[in-house]
Amino acid sequence: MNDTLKLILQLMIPGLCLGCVYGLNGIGAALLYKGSHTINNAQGAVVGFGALLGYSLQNRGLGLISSTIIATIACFFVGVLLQVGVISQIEKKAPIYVVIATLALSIVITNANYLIVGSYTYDSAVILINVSKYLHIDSVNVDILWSNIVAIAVSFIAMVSVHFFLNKTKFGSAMRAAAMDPFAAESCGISVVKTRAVTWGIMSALGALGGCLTGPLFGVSAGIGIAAGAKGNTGAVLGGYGNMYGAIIGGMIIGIVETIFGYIYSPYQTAFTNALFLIFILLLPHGIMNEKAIEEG
Amino acid sequence: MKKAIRFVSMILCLVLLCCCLSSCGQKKEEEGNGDGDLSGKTLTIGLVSSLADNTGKLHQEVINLFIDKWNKEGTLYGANVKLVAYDNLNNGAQDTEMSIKCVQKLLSSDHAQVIIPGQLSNIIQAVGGLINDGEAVGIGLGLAPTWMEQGWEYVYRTALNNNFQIPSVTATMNSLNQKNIAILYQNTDNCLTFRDSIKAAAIEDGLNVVAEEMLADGSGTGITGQITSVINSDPDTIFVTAMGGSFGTVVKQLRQSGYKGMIYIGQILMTTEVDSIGDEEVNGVIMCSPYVSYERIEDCNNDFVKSCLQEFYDKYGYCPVDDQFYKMWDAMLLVQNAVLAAKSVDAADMQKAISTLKFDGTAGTMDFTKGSNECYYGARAWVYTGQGVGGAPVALEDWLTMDVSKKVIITKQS
Repeated sequence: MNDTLKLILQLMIPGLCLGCVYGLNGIGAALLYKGSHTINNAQGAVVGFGALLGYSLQNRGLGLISSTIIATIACFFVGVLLQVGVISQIEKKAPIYVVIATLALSIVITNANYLIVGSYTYDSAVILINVSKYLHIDSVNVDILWSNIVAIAVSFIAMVSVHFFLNKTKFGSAMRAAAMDPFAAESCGISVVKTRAVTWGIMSALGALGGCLTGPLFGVSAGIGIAAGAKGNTGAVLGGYGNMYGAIIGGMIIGIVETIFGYIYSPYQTAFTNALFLIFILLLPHGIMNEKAIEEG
Repeated sequence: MKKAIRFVSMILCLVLLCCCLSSCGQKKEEEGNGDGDLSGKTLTIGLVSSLADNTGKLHQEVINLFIDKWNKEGTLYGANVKLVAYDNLNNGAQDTEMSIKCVQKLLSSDHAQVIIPGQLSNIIQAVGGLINDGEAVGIGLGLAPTWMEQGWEYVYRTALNNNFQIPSVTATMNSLNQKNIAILYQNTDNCLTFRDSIKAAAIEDGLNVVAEEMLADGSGTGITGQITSVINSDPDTIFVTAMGGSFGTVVKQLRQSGYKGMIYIGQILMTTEVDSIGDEEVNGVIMCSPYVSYERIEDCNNDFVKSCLQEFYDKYGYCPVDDQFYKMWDAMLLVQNAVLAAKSVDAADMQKAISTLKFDGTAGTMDFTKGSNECYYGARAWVYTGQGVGGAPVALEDWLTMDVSKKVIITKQS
């Protein structure tokens, strides 16, 4: 019994941690789709950029917490700049170009990441609680990395913060209104341009936060966000594309399922995860949360 | 009038044809007169690599170091040497299709006599036939045995074939009484062949493979399941074969997951990766590679390697930590010796000359006289131990004979 519980903890905690990072990326994807019916292929590249920024700040003497906060805020502005400088200009011509443009942006940012820091993996500061890297659970004799627990906790705090921002603030309400009906929102005096820019900002900031949280676990590299960005999107579809809460749940499912498949039969880990996703979408096209945003579009 | 125009056109065509034929004939003479004076002749070295990242940058730096020296000192009988480098990086990874196009261009437009298609075995496998058919000297830096088994006369390797490394790995495991081994591998040509070979050798040597798991990708995300599976199989040791630069992530995750036993890795562990893993947790890692990554040149105790590192440092101001440095350095030594022996920059002459060559390289004697197009045959391995923290690892043979009190012995996970 203890062995089974130990195995569950060994797999579930890291899986949940990965899932939270995917979920953070999924929130941005859901908000963006709900607001402008498009997808952002550059999210993974921004995750990498944020993680590298956090790492370089640590190298300049900042602690893990302060470097993560600064990198997250900086990436918020990167997202805003991307939207205002590139996306909003392209969006006017044809919305479908945004998908291609973000693909191009992804390549440009990823290559820039590689050019600046190269292809090496760098060490990020390790999270220590009471000078220990692990939380030891005596009853099942298992060590759980504090980095995993902290990543899960911080992700939850970020998710709850986004929830409150969207539901309890005036600007959040404006964002939701602009997402529901941009023309009506505009006529009520809401700046849709501003709400879309903030959506991009939130998406990039959450991605960077995810990148910084995975740094202590896997190290930091230029390509660290490529998988996380794509899986965040997958999780968002699984949860119901356009639904923020669905994206969180979807991301967590992807993270846990991926880890379990890695344990059961690793050569088909990715194939099984994606096959499961396909089956799920065929049976539940509106995802777990039965989100109708796709039909509405 | 029409007849006159037709006559003039015919004459012009004939003149053009004569010019083409004469220049074709001249080219062969230009490259391969074999008289030892190659001044005015050009040797074009083609490189296909990921130019935007550290690997491609390092490849170019090493080649340019040699080219500058050769051209300045007239080392290659006065021949002018130039580098034509093409990028095969596509969305963060080296791409086979792009590599094929690059090699085609190097052969047809640039007329490169030497082509170096980088360090990835799957790419060398894809372009090796083209290079061989184009009769250019190809130098692969990859480690998989597969592409060398094609029998391409013009394609050489300036690194150690993985298969030559394996007997010493299983022998070491046996000598340390590590009977149950687990294998972690990535899904690349090099890693899959390495996995198969190590499995076969282990079984032959009486070892048990208790688990084998595939690592999804090089980014390190999502491999907790595989690592848990491997650790739960209670191995005496773990063998990891992955892409260069990925070992740090895998070793770090193994240690973070509580594995304390010895870890064999199929390549070099760069100092940047050692930093990433942490000094203490890198103890017990055995690098199955002829090379060592040095943080400082002083840490190196091999005079030949030290002089190479120093020469590089003098030109670029940093000490290279990637084993690509050694492989490319050896590739350039091969080009230099081939031209000097052939007294020609013609690829066919160089190819003939290479089979007679035997000279010092960064991993020992490079012996091309055995007819296999390989040059290194002896395995080497290095151990990170308590003695090596903060400096270079210890050679395996020294570590095995070291006083027990002086070394960190790690036999089993806690």
